Parts: sequence; C-alpha cells; structure tokens
Amino acid sequence: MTLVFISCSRAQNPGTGEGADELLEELLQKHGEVVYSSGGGGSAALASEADEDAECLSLAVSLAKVASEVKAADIRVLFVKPIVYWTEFFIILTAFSNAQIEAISSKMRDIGEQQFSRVASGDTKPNSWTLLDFGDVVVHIFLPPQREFYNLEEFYGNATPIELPFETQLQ
Amino acid sequence: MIQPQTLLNVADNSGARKLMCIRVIGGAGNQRYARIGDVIVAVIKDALPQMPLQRSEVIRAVIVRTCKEFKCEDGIIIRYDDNAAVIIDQKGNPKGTRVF
Repeated sequence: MTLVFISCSRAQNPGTGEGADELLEELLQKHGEVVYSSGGGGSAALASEADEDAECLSLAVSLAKVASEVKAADIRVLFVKPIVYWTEFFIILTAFSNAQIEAISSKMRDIGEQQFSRVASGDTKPNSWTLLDFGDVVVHIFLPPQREFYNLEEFYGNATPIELPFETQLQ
Repeated sequence: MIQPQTLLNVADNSGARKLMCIRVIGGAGNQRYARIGDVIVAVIKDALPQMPLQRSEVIRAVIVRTCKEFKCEDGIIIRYDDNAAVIIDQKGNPKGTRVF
C-alpha cells in the first residue's frame, strides 16, 4: 500500500515542491528513527566534562594529601582552567631538601600510576623548582627561596583556590 | 634554526634584551642548528640598566620561539615572527620570574 503511494507521488512531483516536503515528513514520522540529537548530545558532553573535572579534582586532592604526609609546607591547589588552556589544576608546595623533593615526587608518581593510571612527565632529578606534569594537573615543588622569588600565587592570583580537607603546615 | 652569531630577543624579565648565540648545547656536540626547546650558550648584547644581568655576560638560554617553522607530530606547523629565548641557569631554572 505504502509503496504504491510513493511511486505515484514521484511521477507527479519529482522531488520538488511542497508535496515532496509533506511526503518526506510523513515518511520520517512513519519509518524514521533518531540517530543523533544535538540537544541531547550537548548535555551529554557537558556531563562528561564535569566527570573529567571531578576526576582531575580528586587526583589533585589526593596528590596534595600525599604531599602533606611527607611534611611539605604551604600546599595550595589552584583551579586554573579559566586562565590557562593547557591544564586545569596547579598544586604549589614547598619542600626543604632534595631528599624530600625526591620523596614527594616518587610518591606522587606512584599515586598517579596506581590509582589514576596517569604517567607524569617532568623533572626526574630534584631541582630548586621541580615540575611534575600529569596532563590536567601540574605540580610545582619549590625550595623556600625559590617559592618567594617566582611567586606563582601572585601571577595566578585570579585562580580560585581549592580547599583541602586536611590541615596544611604553614611556614 | 638558531646557530652561532644569531641574534635573539629575550622573552622574560631577567633584564637582558638581546642575545647572540655562540654555541648550541647537546646533540653529540656537532649539532649545527638549535630548535625550540634546545639550550644554547649566548652572550648578552643589550640589557636594561640596573639589573642583575649586564651586557657581554655569557649565559645559557632555552629557545622558545623561532622564525623557522616547528612541525608537531600531529601535523600542526607553528611559525613565529621572531627568534626568542628565555635565560636559564646551569640547572635549568629560569633567571627571570615572568615569561612573555
């Protein structure tokens, strides 16, 4: 029945005019199925982005917790996604000796690999400004004079600080 | 493609303005040209007054911008309008506090 109807219309209006539109609408309503919807796709993308942010936040907080266990001082976690395009979170902390820097970076790398399956790139040897790059989270480990000299908190003063659920030592 | 005698701008607030490359570091010692990310030895040709770095000091720098295009692995090609470097110390830490 339906096939006959289609062939008759094609003979009359070969794919143009209002009759074709109506025909198409009718066919879509009868037999079409929705494969992609931009409205539904948009909300799904936002939800996945929020999930990724939550995962990065949990990585940042767990790295900060590891640092406080090794007695790093003045740990700050900054949300820099609106300021910087290449990362989402900064962790800035002060260590007091090369051995402590080494301990902090090795523990952070272990946590990143085991719990979040992320490998860190960055400095392998301790330095007065040691960097660990987990992609969405960047860790800066300073010695006390370098922390004052480079003063990253002032440069990224617009970033919202993240409150840490544990006490940090301030020096 | 930075080689000895190349003049570079300084992209930080360390006090120097212009550098001249005198040696490319790394790459088995016979690397002819330096690219973005390579360390060079340079001499300061122009500096701001009353700053810790002065003219005709020999320092190390890392190249951050080149006029020769830089090809990324994913096919993106980046080319800047000038050659620029950031002054670093022996350990690799920058001497200035802000990079432009």
